[in-house]
Amino acid sequence: MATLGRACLILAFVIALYGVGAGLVAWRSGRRDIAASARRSVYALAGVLTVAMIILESAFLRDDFSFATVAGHSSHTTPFFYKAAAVWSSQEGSLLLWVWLLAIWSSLALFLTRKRMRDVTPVATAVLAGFAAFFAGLLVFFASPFEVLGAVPADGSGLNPLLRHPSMMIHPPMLYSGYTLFTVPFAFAIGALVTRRVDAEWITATRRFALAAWLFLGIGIILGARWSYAELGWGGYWAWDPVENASLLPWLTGTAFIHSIMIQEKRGMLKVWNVSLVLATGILAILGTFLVRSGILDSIHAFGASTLGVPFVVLIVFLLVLSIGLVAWRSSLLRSEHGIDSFLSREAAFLFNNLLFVGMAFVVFFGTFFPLITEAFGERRNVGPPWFDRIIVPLAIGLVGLAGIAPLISWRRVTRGNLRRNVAVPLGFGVLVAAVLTAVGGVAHKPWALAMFALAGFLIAGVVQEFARGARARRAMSADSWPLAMVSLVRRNRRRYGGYMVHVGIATLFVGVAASSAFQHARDVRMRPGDTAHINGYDVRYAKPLGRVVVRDGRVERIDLGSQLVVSKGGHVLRTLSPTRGYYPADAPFAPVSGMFSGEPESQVQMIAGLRRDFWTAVQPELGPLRRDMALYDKAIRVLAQRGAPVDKQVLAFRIGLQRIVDDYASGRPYSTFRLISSPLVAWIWIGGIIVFGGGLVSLWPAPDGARRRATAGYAARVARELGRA
Amino acid sequence: MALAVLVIVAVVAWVVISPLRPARAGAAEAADTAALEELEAEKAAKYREIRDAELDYRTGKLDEADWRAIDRELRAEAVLILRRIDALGAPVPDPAPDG
Repeated sequence: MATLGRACLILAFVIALYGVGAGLVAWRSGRRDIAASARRSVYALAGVLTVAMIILESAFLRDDFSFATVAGHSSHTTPFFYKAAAVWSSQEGSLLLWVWLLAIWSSLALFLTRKRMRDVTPVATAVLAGFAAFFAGLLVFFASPFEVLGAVPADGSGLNPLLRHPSMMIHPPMLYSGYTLFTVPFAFAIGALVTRRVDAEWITATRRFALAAWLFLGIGIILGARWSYAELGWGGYWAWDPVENASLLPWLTGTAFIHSIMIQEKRGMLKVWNVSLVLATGILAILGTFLVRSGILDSIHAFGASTLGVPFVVLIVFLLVLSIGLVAWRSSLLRSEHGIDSFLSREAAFLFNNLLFVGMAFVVFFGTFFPLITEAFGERRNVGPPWFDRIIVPLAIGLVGLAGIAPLISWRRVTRGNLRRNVAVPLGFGVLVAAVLTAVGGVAHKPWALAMFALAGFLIAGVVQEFARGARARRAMSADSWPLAMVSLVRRNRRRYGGYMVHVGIATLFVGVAASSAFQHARDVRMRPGDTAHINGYDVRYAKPLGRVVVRDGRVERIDLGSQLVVSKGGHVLRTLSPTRGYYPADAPFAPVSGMFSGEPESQVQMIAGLRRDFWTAVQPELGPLRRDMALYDKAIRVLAQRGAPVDKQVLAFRIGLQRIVDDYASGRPYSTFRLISSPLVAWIWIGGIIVFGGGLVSLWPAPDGARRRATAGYAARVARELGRA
Repeated sequence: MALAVLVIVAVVAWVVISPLRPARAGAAEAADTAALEELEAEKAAKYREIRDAELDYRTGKLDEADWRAIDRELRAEAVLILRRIDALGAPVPDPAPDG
């Protein structure tokens, strides 16, 4: 099967090169048949890569350790669902996932645009096929997932324990879907520039792909944050880590883009800005993949430092030169058709929000690459989370304010009377939120958090007002019931009201971030059974140690050592928590028992999660006192092996040794270090993410297409009739 | 295994090569199609602008006088776009040679 997989990759590389050539020939000659052939080459690419993906997936699911990547990233004891996800834990598997998703999304984009933009699509096809050729080339020449081992091992190394979390099963496909979907508007922007079609058509044709990319990337980022919170054992969800930042960068510029394209669609403005934004977003998507895979920056998320840095740098430099050159070449076509009528208009609000988004992207980019910049001038230095927080927090507050005001003002211009009428209630609510929180909540000493809560209140009240007024207007026209009017309103204006929902979701998420960052209580405490720690009104008693040997399919998968904690508040027991730390084996043939504690450990966090507050715990058992027994059992097993004892006897000694160590731990009074965190409103980060997802889906859903049919009446009547149908 | 590879190559070749046939589309037709697509996009954007302006008026963000002025202006622009579409003579581009 590995041979078939390799053949599929070579074939994919050849097809992608054909797609590039055929696309360019179709553009130069204007021949539709060649354009169709180029497009079909992308479909074929998707088919061939699907076969390759199935072969690799089945190798993981069948525990076929003749594949080097399966032996390196899975094992008999890896749970079934994680075996399926282990494909993309390796560098070569993740590159295959990237190019496979690229081919799938490119095929969808080219299929949906096959009857539109016939001059632009051949160039776009060539660009998309070019990306595919690059990644297929990496798989063929540098990092093949179909390498086979000469001697097949009895078991594999297993999946990195940190990746054994449900969100890790879908986090990479979501991120990569986001990255690859952003290549679609990138490719069409290149096509539009090359063919001089810089009107709004390429935007209309690819807007949904940009929105889908933004949505997938956003889901991926949220899932990554959730994984970090529940799995990494440090208690946070965002650390301004280079790999986290790498996914945030295209999301920020992509968010700016999906706002500013509305201005181009409506007013023919910001053409240079939009095309530059989408080109930058496409390049940042490649940069994100590069950062995860190159290992040039230290990251808690980079699971495979590799030698692929050079090809990626070459690609990124090529894309930069191509993009800047094309924008400069077509600058005369990219002039705005109108100017801004008033700085008190929705387009002006969008313009300011774009500046803030791009400003944030610049700050994140600078902070992420600061180690490389400083290294170029001497000593490598990092900027930490406080630096990012100091600059990003005020910008984020400004964004929430703009997102609150934009839905309340119209396009083109606003009169003072209208502004007063529309802003009064939301502003009053925002002020009320600030006053109540200052008086009752005692948050005045955290001015940034207070500002965020007040502006989020302003935003949410504004959106509620918009929904209410819109539904009232529908009812005035149709006499529908309130719920029906609401549904009808959203159905007829999906982009607008889906966008409002996204705003509410983002505000909710930011409230969770602001509250949990500003009002978090965290403490690291060393305790032994019987001790009690106090934090933010919680009493945490270390009741007893826990230990167990986890066996899967007759093999030892891991050792869990942990603690039973009784959490009380005001004298009432709230819950018993059992945080543990899972120890996985490293390859240590001469020290099988201590080798069980030498692999990558994994924190099994426990928390009391609620809408108001999370109480979060992780444990770090002290292994020092166990080392002597580990060494004793290692020695005993070595002696058995030297005396030629049967393997089953050695395995029995190994099992007995492990069980004794675990039992001794659980019946003793071992010290452990606990991380205890009390954070308010963390749940609202995840709820905000779900609201954003829902709003994104509403915006993405196709609108009823009634305006394409032709009417024969007079022109003014035709406009009215076609408007009435949509 | 070799047979499987051959089958895949044959299917790919059929999928990719089958649309190829002697050129039939002239440059003039392609230019007309591009212009028409551009106008259709302009029309859709203009209609969206008209609807948005009406919704802005109905949700209290525009005065009636302002809305009527903007609406008149937008509808006049929409009429111009329709005239240009009709001048090109084809309402919708003909279908592509394949799926």
